[in-house]
Amino acid sequence: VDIYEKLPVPFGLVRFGVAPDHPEVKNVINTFTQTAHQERCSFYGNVSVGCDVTVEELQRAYHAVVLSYGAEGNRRLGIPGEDLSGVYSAKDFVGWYNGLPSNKKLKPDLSSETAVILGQGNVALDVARILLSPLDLLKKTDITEESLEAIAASQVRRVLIVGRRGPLQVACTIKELREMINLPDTKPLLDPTDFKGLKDVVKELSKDVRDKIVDLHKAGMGYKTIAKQLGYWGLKFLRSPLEILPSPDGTKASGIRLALNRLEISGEEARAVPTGEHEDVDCGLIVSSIGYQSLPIDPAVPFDLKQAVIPNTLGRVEQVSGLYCSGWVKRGPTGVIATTMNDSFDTARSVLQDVESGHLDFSSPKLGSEATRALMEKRGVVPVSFSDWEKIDSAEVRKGQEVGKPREKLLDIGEMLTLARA
Amino acid sequence: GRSLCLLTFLSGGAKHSPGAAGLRHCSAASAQKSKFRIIHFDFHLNMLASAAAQRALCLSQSLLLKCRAAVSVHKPLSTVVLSGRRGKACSRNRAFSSYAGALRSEDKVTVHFINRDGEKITVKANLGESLLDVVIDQNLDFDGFGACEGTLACSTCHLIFEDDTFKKLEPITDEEMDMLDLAYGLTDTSRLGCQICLRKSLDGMVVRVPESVADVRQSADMGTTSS
Repeated sequence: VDIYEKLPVPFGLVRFGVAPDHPEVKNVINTFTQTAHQERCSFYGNVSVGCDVTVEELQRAYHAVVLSYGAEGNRRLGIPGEDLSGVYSAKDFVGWYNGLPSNKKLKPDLSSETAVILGQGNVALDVARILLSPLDLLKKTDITEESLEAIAASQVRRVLIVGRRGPLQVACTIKELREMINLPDTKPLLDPTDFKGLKDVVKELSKDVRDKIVDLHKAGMGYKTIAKQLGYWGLKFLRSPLEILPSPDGTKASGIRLALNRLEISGEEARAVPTGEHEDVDCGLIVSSIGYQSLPIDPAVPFDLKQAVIPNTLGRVEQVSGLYCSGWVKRGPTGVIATTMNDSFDTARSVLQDVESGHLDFSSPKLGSEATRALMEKRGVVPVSFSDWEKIDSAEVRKGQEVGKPREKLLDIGEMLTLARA
Repeated sequence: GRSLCLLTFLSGGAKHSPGAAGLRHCSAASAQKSKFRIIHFDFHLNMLASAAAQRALCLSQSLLLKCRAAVSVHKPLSTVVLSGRRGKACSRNRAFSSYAGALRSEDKVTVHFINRDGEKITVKANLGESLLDVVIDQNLDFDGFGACEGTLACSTCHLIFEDDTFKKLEPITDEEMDMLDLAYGLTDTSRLGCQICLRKSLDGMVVRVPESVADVRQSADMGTTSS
């Protein structure tokens, strides 16, 4: 099995998406490393599929090709002012503090007192938590040095996490919510009217939702007394973004106009319906956390632009024999590591079934990496092997140790390649 | 042969602290003179004192067990570095001195696993180990089991117990509950294996490894099924 990856470094969102203060979630890297060390597995980093080598060329070289390139785009808000300075997608903001090379120049504006995050999933809570975490905690993580400095100088004191619907529909999981509630030196701002009438409904809810509501309600009642308060965070419900309001000189965001909704319940479904009223919130930082989105990789691969996934059945790409997909590009961009891991096992089972049933033709030998390496040499592409990555890994860990961090991530691809080839 | 186990407890990232280096040098020198083999264990303590101390004790116990096992077959051990946060240590109620006892056969516990193919796998495990430890130590091949390595950051060590066994288990914590709630196919007798510690009263228990995802395959041209 050969793995092709655009960046010189492996692991994708486990390295660039998981929050710096969740190191235990990254333990899966040990399992991945064990797999990569197997003799029959090779890693080819710094190879951009669709560009350095096409999917057709891969299909000619390999009996089966599995696309698991995730979702590197993000859903747009589709509202005026979205492209003003001060407005960022959560994908870029998270990429910035996690050292994704393409986000290293983001330099988000953290000079205003209030930040608004649109969306109430786990990524939204990650962003809020990183913005308000005490520096003592952050500086022991693998957050990048540059973002640590920026957050140290940040003026953001109030983070509002805004959702279209009500408390019963929040997408975040309880662990992340509890982390927010227990975050040192912060106080939750919760409007008790948001929880009015829920006490009667609470008993009928699933345990997970019930726990969330109870925790939120307790937090809102000032359940936690804290000595000093450096930051506030709150969940604002039943609000949809209408427009990002510009500063007087029109160069950056200075506020956001939110439509007020009401909930229309029909059976199991709860829809947000605008009431016609709206409110304006002053803020200089807006992070849109409404979902990642997959992008097409190569014209030879069918792509459903509406759903933003590769059309497939059980991981077998429709109408293209020998082509498979797994993970977010197959099912859409939701789910934790365990969900995606299990989905990958499913695709692997489809591949193995096709091997056993003869659906995949193994009668003619394929050249595999012999073919691709020849193509890459011709094009001046120099791949990074797994042991090359381990040189980068050691350098990052060494640099991190000097400052008491698990690693200091390299932000520059050139630097990574220099180390890889040393 | 005779072996000297050197346990060094280091706080934060101080892997190469002068103290640790000095200690190692002294013990190495004296051990060489008396022809001891030296086995180093460095413990990085990334959390608060008391929790870390508990964890360190638990880790040192299990490592000393492995050390004795290794020594008895003259296997050389290299430096073992443990770092990172761990979930609640299984041996929170165990006394340090019980490690020697665990090597006797009376302190082994029989566990029967029913895997995802319905096959029964019987193993003998040590008291105080978690069920995740058992799966790893015995090299039981359950796809994706224990992805976060016992730190309560996933739900892949989800196991289903029989009613009477379930009642004997230590009460569940909020942290375990938060992750267990996300497991696929949750039942009233489900728990996370990394949090279940083996005690004598659990000897002979039967535990089922549930499916981790809905099996939606209904394809007619499937020859042999292999899941």
